Amino acid sequence: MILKLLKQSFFANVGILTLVCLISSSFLMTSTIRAQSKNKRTQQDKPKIAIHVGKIMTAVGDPIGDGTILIKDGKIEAIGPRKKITVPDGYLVIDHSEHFAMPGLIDAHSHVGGSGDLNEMVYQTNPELRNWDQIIPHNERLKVAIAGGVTTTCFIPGSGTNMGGFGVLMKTGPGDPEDVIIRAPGVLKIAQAGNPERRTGETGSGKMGMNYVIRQQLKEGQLYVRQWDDFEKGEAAKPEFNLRLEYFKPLFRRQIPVVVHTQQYQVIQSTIRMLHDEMNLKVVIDHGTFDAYKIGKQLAKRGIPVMAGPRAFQLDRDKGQVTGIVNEYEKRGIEILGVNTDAPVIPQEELFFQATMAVRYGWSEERAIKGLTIQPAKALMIDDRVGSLEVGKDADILITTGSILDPRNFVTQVFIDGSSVYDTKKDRRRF
Amino acid sequence: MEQLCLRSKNMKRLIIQFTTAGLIFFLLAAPQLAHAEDSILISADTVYTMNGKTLSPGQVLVVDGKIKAVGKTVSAADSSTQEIKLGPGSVLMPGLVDPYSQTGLGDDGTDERTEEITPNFKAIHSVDWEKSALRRQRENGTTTMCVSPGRQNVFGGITAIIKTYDAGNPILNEDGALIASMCSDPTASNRSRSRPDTIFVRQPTNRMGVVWMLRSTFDKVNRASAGESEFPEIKQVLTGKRPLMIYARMSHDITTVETLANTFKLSPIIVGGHEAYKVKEMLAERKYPVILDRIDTRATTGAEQSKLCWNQAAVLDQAGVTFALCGNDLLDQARFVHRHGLSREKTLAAITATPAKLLGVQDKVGMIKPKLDADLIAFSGDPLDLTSRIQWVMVNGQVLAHSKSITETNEKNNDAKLGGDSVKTKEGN
Repeated sequence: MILKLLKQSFFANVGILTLVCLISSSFLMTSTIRAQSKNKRTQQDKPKIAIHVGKIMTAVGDPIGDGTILIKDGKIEAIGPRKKITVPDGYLVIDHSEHFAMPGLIDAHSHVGGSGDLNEMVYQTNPELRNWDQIIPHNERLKVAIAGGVTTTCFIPGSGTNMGGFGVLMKTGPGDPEDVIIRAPGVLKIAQAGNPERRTGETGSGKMGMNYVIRQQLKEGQLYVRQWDDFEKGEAAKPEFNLRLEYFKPLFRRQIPVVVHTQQYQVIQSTIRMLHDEMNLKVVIDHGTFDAYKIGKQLAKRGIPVMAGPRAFQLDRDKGQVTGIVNEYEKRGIEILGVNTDAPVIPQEELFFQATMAVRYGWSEERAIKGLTIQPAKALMIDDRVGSLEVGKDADILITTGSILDPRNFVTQVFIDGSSVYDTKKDRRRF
Repeated sequence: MEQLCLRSKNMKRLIIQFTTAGLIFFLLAAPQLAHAEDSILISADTVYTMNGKTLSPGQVLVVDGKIKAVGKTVSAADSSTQEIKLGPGSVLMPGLVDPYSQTGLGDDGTDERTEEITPNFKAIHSVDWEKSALRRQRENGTTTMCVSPGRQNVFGGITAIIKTYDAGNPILNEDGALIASMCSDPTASNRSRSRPDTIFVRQPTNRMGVVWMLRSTFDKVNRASAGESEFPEIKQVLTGKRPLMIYARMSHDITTVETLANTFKLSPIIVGGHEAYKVKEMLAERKYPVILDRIDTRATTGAEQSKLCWNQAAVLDQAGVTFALCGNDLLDQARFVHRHGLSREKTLAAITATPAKLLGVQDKVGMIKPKLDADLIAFSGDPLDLTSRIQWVMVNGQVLAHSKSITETNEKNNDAKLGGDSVKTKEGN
């Protein structure tokens, strides 16, 4: 079905690339890990830093002109107008008064965080799989991603099966896996339609069958978690432990979201109905491309976040006009709205450009900045740590030559957890 | 000859000749057959004992297939003691210990193809001491070898520690470590979404699957009581009663081994380790020993696109990681790592005493010290010098000459350097 649609489309190239990359790509603790650099091996005393910046886009309030950011222990200690902040002794002062500062970008859908082991495709649903064992911190692709401003990614299994496994939220900077992991399991990956479609001869080759398979698996998980919840409340006997279903616990307890490879009106309808309404999961629409924006009001009503793309525009056949997908969602009232690259489908470092194109098709610049930072943080439920420049949050800061949405500007320095991980003065400009 | 046989006079002469020859043969061969009375005193310019000291010159007395005495000068056991005086510049060192190899296993495959989890399969049942590849390793100095099931299974089976020569009792430990794989090798022949009527449509088809099978198997066995466990071998690993060797090349796979070790309280020995240098601090901190597999220096990357580091052994040594070399042709590998910065002492240890210790057979092999097996190599010069030749290899007190394939062109030279015509050799032909 998807192939047919693609063939009809003017912009089939990107879509087919998605399909090819994700299917062919053989590249790339029971309790939830919320690592925060407790690693003794790599944990060094981080320098205290004061950065003077021409303009700070905090992603939460108004921009701050001529501002100062203080960084201590990898966190933002203070932020505000330069006049109001006194830099204490012992701080390394960096002058970027000609530059802009903004929060590090967050990619809600990426496959380049580690080795290429994306799809384990023997079974259609694989809730037992996890991908954070395959993390390669600061790998060559991530180094370029940093130069494009990406400091956090949602590194997930591919969409070769209906349930690819559990993914991880991680920083792009250097360190051991436990240094870069923000949360593991970070998200569950579900793929509805398109890539995971199977040949005849197997159950679940069409949309009806696929959704049957997904639903059965979720029902099994839901029952398991319910049994444990009842046991923990003292209302039932201890259920039998099942490692295969363990990561369903944070999912059904709504501590982590499910990112859903879903696109087209009809498929998103089933996403809403099954994953949100019936299963009561924290759903994130990843992709949401083609004509799916037309169901936007249904998503908005439920507060479901949309991380649109990487296909950012679509020929609307009714209007006979190319339409920017992101802005169409905006018009329909999606609050938590962002973009993604599905890297390597679109190179990770071009995340900002996804927002740029959305702005070209009518999205506001202010919303676009948020859509690259705080909105994906909210969607992925990590906005307590990243996504905006606020006191107490991780010091993931970009220094740019101007608004990141203008492709003529570029990133000159990147801080992750308060450490400078990229500096065009020292490193060659990578992107 | 035909003529001689026809004439009785000549026949008589022939019988005498044969009898004499037989007598001489008996005299020469008898001590060899009656192995227990054998004693040999070997003198060399340098003796690397690998027991903390190097003797120069040195003597080693071998009695009954064991090392009896080592020193600057050692007195012979009795008048029947045979003496081997190695020439000028000669070096005597312990036989090499290869801690991970498939050489020595039969040619009919080292991996079980129908299943992924075969911890109860034992390498010992496939060892072929007559295999020419094994003989070749022996002639190149390897006297002890840990033969292991291959890497195509997530849990491959049980290793065996053997002598490379069958001198009567060539098995040091037939019930060695459990070998597992944390690499993409088990995925090699598995397929997904193809015809479902083949056994190869099965997990794992990538690393996520490998990790899952390791995790779930360890977990299942962990939760089962000792008696009812499906895989007693894995239970023994989990209770610290059996060593675990786990093959991992890439740095992230080695990190995964650490994760698994944390979860299941394992003390793994990492085999492969092509990218161990990237996680050297962790390896040193956790005290995980590494058995470094040989690297192919002709390619820019190793298997699984691992990024090779030619001086990795020296780097690991500096970081304080314990390691040994493995995977055949240990002498070549030792010369390579020495050339790339590892000290002489550490290099020689990495092919003798260290692997012996990792395999738990340090009381039998890996050093020249009293009571250990008399497994020795006689070199014409410095073992780490490419121009030095192995003159002979001794296993359990028996001097083994080279097969013709290696020595043909140099036979005369070799004989002269053996240290006297009286040296008896097995398999001299």
